[in-house]
Amino acid sequence: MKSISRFLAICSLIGIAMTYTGCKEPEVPEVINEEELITTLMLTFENELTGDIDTVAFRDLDGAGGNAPTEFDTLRLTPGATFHVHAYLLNESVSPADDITLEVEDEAVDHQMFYTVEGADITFTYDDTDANGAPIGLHMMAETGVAGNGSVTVTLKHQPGIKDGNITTGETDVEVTFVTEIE
Amino acid sequence: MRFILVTWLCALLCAGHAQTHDCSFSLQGRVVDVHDESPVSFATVVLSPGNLITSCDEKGKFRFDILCAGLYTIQTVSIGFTSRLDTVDIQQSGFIEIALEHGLIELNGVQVHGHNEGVVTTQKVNTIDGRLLERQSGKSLGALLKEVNGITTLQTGNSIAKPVIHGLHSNRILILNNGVRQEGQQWGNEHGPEIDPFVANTFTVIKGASSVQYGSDAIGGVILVNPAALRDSVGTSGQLQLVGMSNTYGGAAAALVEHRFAKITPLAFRIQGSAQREGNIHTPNYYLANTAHGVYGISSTIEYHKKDLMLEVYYSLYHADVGIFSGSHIGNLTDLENAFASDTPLIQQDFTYTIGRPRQSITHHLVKGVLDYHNEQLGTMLLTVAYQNDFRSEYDAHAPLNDSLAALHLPSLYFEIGSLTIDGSWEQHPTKYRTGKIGFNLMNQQNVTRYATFIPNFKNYSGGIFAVQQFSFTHWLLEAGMRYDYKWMQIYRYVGNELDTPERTFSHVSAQLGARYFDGKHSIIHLQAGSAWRAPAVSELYSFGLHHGAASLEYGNELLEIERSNQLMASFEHDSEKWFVDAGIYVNYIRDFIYQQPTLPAELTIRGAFPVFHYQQDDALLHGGDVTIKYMLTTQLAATAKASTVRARNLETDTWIVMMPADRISGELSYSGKDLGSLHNWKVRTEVAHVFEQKRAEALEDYVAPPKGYTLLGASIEGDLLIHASTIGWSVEIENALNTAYRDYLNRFRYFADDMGRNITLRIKIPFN
Repeated sequence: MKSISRFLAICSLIGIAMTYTGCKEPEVPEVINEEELITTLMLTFENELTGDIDTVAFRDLDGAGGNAPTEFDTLRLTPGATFHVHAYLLNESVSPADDITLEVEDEAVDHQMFYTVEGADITFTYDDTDANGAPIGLHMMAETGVAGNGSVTVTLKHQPGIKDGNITTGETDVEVTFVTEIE
Repeated sequence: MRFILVTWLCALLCAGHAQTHDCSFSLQGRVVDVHDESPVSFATVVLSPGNLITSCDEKGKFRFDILCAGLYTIQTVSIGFTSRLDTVDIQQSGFIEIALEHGLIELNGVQVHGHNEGVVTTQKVNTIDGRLLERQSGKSLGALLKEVNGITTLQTGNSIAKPVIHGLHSNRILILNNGVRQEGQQWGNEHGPEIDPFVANTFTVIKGASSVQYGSDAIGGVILVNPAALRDSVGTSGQLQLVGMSNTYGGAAAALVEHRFAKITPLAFRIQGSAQREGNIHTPNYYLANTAHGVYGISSTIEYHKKDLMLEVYYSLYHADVGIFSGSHIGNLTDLENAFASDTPLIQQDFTYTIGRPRQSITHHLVKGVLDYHNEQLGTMLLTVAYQNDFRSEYDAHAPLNDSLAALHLPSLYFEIGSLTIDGSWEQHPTKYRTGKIGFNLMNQQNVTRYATFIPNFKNYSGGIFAVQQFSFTHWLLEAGMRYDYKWMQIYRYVGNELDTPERTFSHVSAQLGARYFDGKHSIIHLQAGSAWRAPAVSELYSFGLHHGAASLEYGNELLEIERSNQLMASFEHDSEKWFVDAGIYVNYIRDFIYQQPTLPAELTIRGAFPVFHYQQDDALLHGGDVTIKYMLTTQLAATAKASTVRARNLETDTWIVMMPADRISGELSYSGKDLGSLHNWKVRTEVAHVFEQKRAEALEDYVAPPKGYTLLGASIEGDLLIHASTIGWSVEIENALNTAYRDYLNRFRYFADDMGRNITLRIKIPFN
């Protein structure tokens, strides 16, 4: 019986130990702000002739999932014109907003932005190059033709060490399709 | 209650000149039923000193080699029989026949040295150990369990494999690692069990609802992972295992040393460690980029065993770095479509051992203390306290763009889960007709997620109590058990910027009834009815957002209720001179089965369109069967056929349930040779396995239709080499011998690439004393 009482004594000791260790509160989590979250893609179209600037944006302030995008513009351009196009990537979930475009420029040899046109009469040509002489796509020239409707899909590919000018290579960081009206 | 013990010592251990230091003897034997001398298959035989454990084959035969001259005890244990102890004086090699009396069944079966948790129940039990296990060394836990008919794996490539029992996996399967409920990040399909198979020498599978003794949740089944008992004679022994694999140019080494102190004989310890490294997987036509992986593990046990009391402290560490196939890491739906459209992976890489991004890094610590008190009048009392901590870091394909951020090497997603478990049980000392066990399980768990909010932080307290009784009669063993569990959890999450801390409680009763009929000769029938339940996991209730690398948005469902399984199982075993049959059927009705349902439309994000999945519950019906038939063509040549099938219907939507194993059949021929000089126990085996196309899948619920069926050819040769009183076990195995290009429905990489090509594995096991 001595052994049994010893057994029970050890049991109760462990029980007490558990009550203390077990009741430790887990830390209340900090708000997690995802680093380098891209919330916004903005394109500016500067008319070469008039200097007028048209801006379109896709804005989803809480990132993928959760709330729907707060802004998703239609691209409206005048026909028969030439534009300087600049692309901007922003994280607007923090204040002040983070300019992710700078990070992409820093790693330009591993990134390329593609502009895929469907339906509309618009032609994009690259106006920037990385350290290896390959196009980046943050600066473009665009020429519009006749009036008509369609879409422009902007795709940023991450191609670490495998940059080959091919849109199917690598992982997609950004892919937004803007409804496009040339009128 | 005394048993009739009968022994025949056939070939006797005659006098001769006692060579006291000769250690080249072997002891062969056969275990038979005392009444009709029919063989007792798969009995466990323990030889001491040395604590050598072996299992009999289906003919009741066993063998020990490299024995020194001296006095030994042999303990023989088998289900349905009274275990017995014999003493033999070995002065030369010999043969012993051990006859067992039918007897009562102890709930906890093999009590070889305190706590080695054997399983005796009316439920059907499958065990992988001994030679069968040696032939699997170097494989992951999930992959080696596939040796049991009816078990398949849910894979993410070849390094992450989760066991699937009768179509159920993850949270629905309980793994007891050395007696402790394994608690890691078991919810995810791409989260393998955090256990190094080299720590154990016995893997036991109990198919079907087995909740009563082991805890709620186990509606699919239980897997017991147990190391050998420590040596019980004074001295040191150990073993070294080496494995080499041709496909991945991989290698594994595992070593084990154990010692019992001469001055303090109750004290013994064991230290064990292993390391494994494999390079990129080669399919028949190309390498899979970034599929290298590395694993290491360490474990140690100290045990003090005196008279009625046994104390044990155990610690184990498991660490794995796993490269995730680059071609499977998908940014959005367009990437996914591009990958599906391509016959070969879009990212190509040559062979390398380097693990790049994306990758997982997992560390699992387990420390436990066991107190075991055994007394003839009172029975056995067992108390286990364990703490385990699991760390999982997942690194996205994309390192941060910002250099200073990238230099920190922070994971994209990090989980840390700590679990304290306390389990106690009291097993009554058995009487002739009855034995019983009561017990409790307590758990306190905390999860912390960092860098992303996919799974919220939570803590959880749960507890359960159970009682099981067994009644034994001449031919029948009856079992009844009940259990009550209570689970409380609190979630810490942000909804917008507001902290939300919902509390949830779940509680319910589980019950099981079982019967086992043994005809006294060759056949056993198991019948089982069980009712078990599972509380929804935090991932099912509250996961929220982007599942990195899987290109999916997953949303938990707060309204989920417990799911309840009601099961009926029947199995038949027959074992005679010529035939071995193991056949089982089951039907499992699951009320409120929790599953992920793809919901349209795809959600628009800045990264493009993502498919959306919501958790739902519906009533489901699973049924199926597993059959193994072995026939001895001659005394040395055996033919084996296996078949396994699962059917799973969603009864409310009247559709097939996604991700269920396809039907499979296999045939095997094996030839066991006679000893050739120093070559013993050699065996040649060849196998053809066919997996059918899974036609029972809904076209709309998957990105790509299930792959075609495939046939694989395999072969192996194995044996023991007796060199200088050492028995060196070896085997050479070839898998996918014809280098067939195939894809398996339950491998997630099947969307992007073929499965592994031809692989030749060499295994060597060297014991030392």
